[in-house]
Formats: sequence, structure tokens, C-alpha cells
Amino acid sequence: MRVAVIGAGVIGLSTALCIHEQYHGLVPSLEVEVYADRYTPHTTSDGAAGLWQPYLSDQGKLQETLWNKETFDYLLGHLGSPAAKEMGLFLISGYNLFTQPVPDPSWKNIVLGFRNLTPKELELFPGYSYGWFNTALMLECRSYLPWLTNRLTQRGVKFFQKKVESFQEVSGDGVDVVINCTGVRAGELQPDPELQPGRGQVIKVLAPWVKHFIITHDTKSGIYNSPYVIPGSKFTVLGGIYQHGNWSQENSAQDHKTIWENCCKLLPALQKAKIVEEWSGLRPARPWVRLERETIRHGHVQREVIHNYGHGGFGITIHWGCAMAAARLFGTLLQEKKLASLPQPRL
Amino acid sequence: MAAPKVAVVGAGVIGLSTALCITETCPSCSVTVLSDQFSPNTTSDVAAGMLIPHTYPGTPIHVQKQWFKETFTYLSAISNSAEASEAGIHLVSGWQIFKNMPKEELPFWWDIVLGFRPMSAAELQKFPQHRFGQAFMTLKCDCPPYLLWLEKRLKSTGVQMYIRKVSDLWELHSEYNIVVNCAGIGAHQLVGDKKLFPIRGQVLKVHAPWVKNFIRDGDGLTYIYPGIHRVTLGGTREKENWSLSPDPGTTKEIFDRCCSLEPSLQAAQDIEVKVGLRPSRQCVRLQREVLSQGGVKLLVVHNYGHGAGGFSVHRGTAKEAAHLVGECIAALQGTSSRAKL
Repeated sequence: MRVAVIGAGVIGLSTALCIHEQYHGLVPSLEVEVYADRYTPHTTSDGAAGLWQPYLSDQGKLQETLWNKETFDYLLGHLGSPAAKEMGLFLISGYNLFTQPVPDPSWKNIVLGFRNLTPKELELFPGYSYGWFNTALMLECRSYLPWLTNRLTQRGVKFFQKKVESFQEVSGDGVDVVINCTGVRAGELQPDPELQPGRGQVIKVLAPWVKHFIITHDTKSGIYNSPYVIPGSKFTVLGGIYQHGNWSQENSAQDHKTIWENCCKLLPALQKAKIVEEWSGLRPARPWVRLERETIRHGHVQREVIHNYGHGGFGITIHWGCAMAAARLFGTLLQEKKLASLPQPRL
Repeated sequence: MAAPKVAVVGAGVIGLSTALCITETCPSCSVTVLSDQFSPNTTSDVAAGMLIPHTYPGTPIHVQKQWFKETFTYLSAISNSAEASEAGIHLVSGWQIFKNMPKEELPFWWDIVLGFRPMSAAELQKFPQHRFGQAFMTLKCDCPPYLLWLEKRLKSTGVQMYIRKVSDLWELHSEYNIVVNCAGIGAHQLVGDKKLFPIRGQVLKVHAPWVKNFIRDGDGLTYIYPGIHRVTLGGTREKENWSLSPDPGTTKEIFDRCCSLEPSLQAAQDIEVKVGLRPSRQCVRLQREVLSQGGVKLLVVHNYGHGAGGFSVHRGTAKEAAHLVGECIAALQGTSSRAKL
């Protein structure tokens, strides 16, 4: 049984690992292959700071909240393991700041120590009158993706550098199932008007004196269009850009100015920070994550596809829950195939 | 009289911050700092510089609280300014955990640090051997940056600093009107204070930049304090131990204790071992004294004996010492005007 995973960002690699871990024992002939034109450190995932935090409201999408929780709990369980540093996984605490009171988020009981900010703490942030403090997790893809790659390589999973232009391309040749983890460019394989780029730009600086994340929110500008500061293990990421429908991956001088000025205003201690890198990427935005099976018919050829894309700005936050869900869909597929391939009794 | 000449003996956090306070309260004074050691070789350089007060048995709590509050407010303003990184001041949050219930549920400083609250059950799961904990956010003064920043501020106001070993305060009587004794553990010899004793502390400074929260065992022996570039792992509290040499057995023991609280420290690199002698006393000696020999007087202000709590109260005690210096100046001016009659 051959499985082709298209896409090698956090979604593609974690889904490949999940499927291999769960089914290799049951299906000894299982061969998983990864196809992608971009590998770490050139994927969208690599540009993200790596903070586990869902959007403020799940808008009733309970399933996504459950996947977020599954991911958090899974990562929390790995914190004490020797692999944590190699995975780029560590605890981090910080603030969410608002200009007015807001309802508690769907994830308040998932993170650790969630509480409101005290008046004294709010004094540190003029212009913000309400906020939260909690401890969450960082998962830096510059470490996590290589770690996933190593685990997959150890398991015999093969990697191919290739820009896949169609499902047919990979699913000929005896490939039974295609796992579509192509992120923002999924529309090139199959048109999807719901999928749009949510362009972001970030400035990476050296500011090791910053120990907390700070995410500000401005209901008028929308998610991620308000300054944020996220300290990593080496660099601190400054951001606050979300441009729906903008496909440009070139750094914009105007956006640079917006990010730098707003972040320095938020945290004056950043003024002396040295800029190391600038990056723009396209969040694969969709009203909800596309995580479902599809049987694509081409004449009398039937291709099984499992879609797992459209994770917007919360891909790292939700990745493991989605990988597990994709693996379950794969399991159902296996069961169907087994039933189909059982010898029929001769009548 | 001519501008009073003040000598500050000692260039650790207490000496430098006291000198700075004196220039602020008495701009006409000529202030000089004298010390046999400067950063990075002072006791302060070994300390993590966490603002978590030590309780002095001999000082009223409201006084200690005032010292802490002044220090916290002063540093908080710096941490939220463009100077923060140069001064080495930054906020850090974390947990103080207890294997056994602490005697007092709320330490006297609970409402000065930020966001103080008991840890939740979910948070305590990270520490299976501990039954109770407190979460809060406080400030950290990284050394050498903080001391170097103080030295820079002092130089810009015209304060001179000299490497000089002062063996006896009296030797300064001909050059200075007032001497401020911030000699820390050095006061044991300098002024023969037998109530002052060292509590030896060995620490490791390691490279582990993924550690963003502090963890401190309420027994004060095991702690993990993330600084700007290094994480301080501690420690020991050895009363009356004067040895400044690192002990390798102790190093391993500290490392193991810290790894049991934070397993990811196993991957820490670049381990540096340091030793400091906390200048311990029942209470901080913060008082005036008049030394006289053959009709000549030397006015002294003592400001030493901060033990494990130097950083936490440094600005508060520096201001009080500067105030005492002001009293000395008034006394000198009173004497000199009387002498004119």
C-alpha cells in the first residue's frame, strides 16, 4: 500500500508521521512518500514564530477547538522528554491585550494558569485596558520540521523534491492514497474559492531580554493586524500584518515600518534590538479547515484523497489534532479496502 | 563650606546605587567610588539579581516592604524604557513551589510583584514532588550589564572611580569629609563587624535560551533564573564558609537538582561555575557613625549586610543611605558655621 503525502510543512510531515506510526504495524507493506517543492527552512511553517494560540473565538467550530486541545496536550506531554529541545518545544508565558473587555476564549482551560491582567500590569501597556495572562507552548518549526523529518527518515519514509501539478501525477504508479497537505497553494491542485492567502510579514530581531509573548488585539483591524511580539529560543519575532487575498511574498517597506513602529511603541525595550531577518508568508486561510476524504473519479480510475489544508494562522496550534483526524480517515479507508479485497465467497 | 567630598567604598550593586542616589540628592557633592573590585568581579556579578526579597529578622517588615517597593518601582520604569537592554533589567514570570506548605501563605511582598496568585492544579502537575505553589511576575537585574550601566550613569555625572583597597576607613579622613561604607562582605575586615558572616552560594550560569520562566523551590536552595544571555542555576547556602573556589561535587549536585525541576536543562551548554559570599546579617547595617581621632572627625554612613536580598532592596537602602549622607552634610555645615563664630 503506497501513500503519497503532498506538502512538507508542519501539516504534511506530522500527518505522514501519524499515519506511519499508527498503521505501519497493521499494514506491513505500507509505504509512505512525501512530495514537496519546498522543504524546511523554506516552508510557510518555518516563518511562523511557533506560538500555540488559537484565534480568539472558534466561531462555533467545536471540532477545531478539540483538535487544538489535542495538540496542546500532546505537546505538553513531550515537554519533559529529552526530545523537547530538539523538537524546538518549550513553555512560554505572556499577554493578550485588548482595548475593551472581551469574553474569555475557547482555549482558556487548555492553556495553563489563564487569568485576567491586574490593573498594575495593564499600566505597563498604555492604550490597553483589558487583558489576559497565561502560560502556553512554543513549537519552533525550524527545529520541529527537521525533527519530524528525522523520525520519518528513521521509519523509511522517502522524500521527493518535486512540484506536484496534479493528483494524477502522484497517484498513478500504484499509489493508493494521496494526502493533500499543500497549504495555501491547494487551489492549484483543485480549485477552492474558500481558500485565500492571509499574507503576513515579520521582523526577526535579537532581543533575548524579552521573555514573554505579547499579542495585541484591535477588533477594528482584525486578527494579527495589531502588533505582536513573540520571543523564540534565538530570535524574537515582531509582527502584526494580515492581508487577506494578498499573494505577494515580497517584504513591504510600509509593512516593515508599521511592524517596527507599533512594536517599539508597545515595548520600548525593543528599540535597541538588532534586526536579523525579515520574512513574509501566506497563511492558508479558510473559513474552516478542510479535513475530509474525497474519491476522485477519472474514467474508471478511482483516486482516494484525504485533504488536510486551510489552517490559517493556527497551523502549529492545531496540527497534531488534524494529523490524528487524517490518520483516522486513513484507517477508515483501509477498512473499506480490506473489505473490498477479501475473497468473495463463490456462489 | 566647599562642596562636601564623599567617598563610597565598594562598587557592587549597593556601592554604585548608593553613589548614584547621593549624586541625585546632593548634586553639589563631589562623589568618588573606591573599591578593590569592580564588575565583573564583585559579589553582585555572581548573583542572579532576582527581585524576590529575603526577610531580615532584625528589620521591621514595613521598612523592608518600603525598600522593596521603591526598588521595584524604580527598576520597573527602566525595564519599560529604551534603556532596558543596556541596563540589563527585564520582567520574568514563573513559579515558587513548595514540597511542604509554607509557614505564611502570603509573603510580605506579594502585592508588590505582579500577578501573584496560587498555582493551579494543572500547573503543579509539572512538579510532581511539590504540593503547593505561587505564580507571579517580577524583575531581574542582570549583572554585569546593570553594574556597567550604573557606572556609566555615575561617570556622566562626574563621579570618579578608582581601584583601591581600603584597609581602614580612617585612612580616608584627610581626603574626604564623609565615607559611605558599602563594602559588603568586606566590612567583616574593614570595620571588624563580627555580626556579619558569609553565606556561601555556588551557582552555574548556563546557555539554555529556551527557558523563559523562573522556577524556585520555596526552600531557597534550588532555583532556575533565566537572564538575558544565561540561565542561573542554584544553589547553596553555606553559613560561615569563606571559600570562593567552586566545588565540582556541588556543581553536579546543583545541576541534578535543577534538571529534576526542569528536565530540558539536560541540554544546557557552556556551563560556567561561580561562587559568591552573601554578606549576611540579622539586619542591614544602615546607620551613621562618627569616627574621631585627636580632634579630627570622619563622618561615616554604613550601608552593608544585605545578605541574599541585595538586589531586591538596593534602591530603597541606597536612598536611605543618601538621606543619611544629607544629614551628615547638614551636621558638617552646622559645625563649620559654628566654627566661624
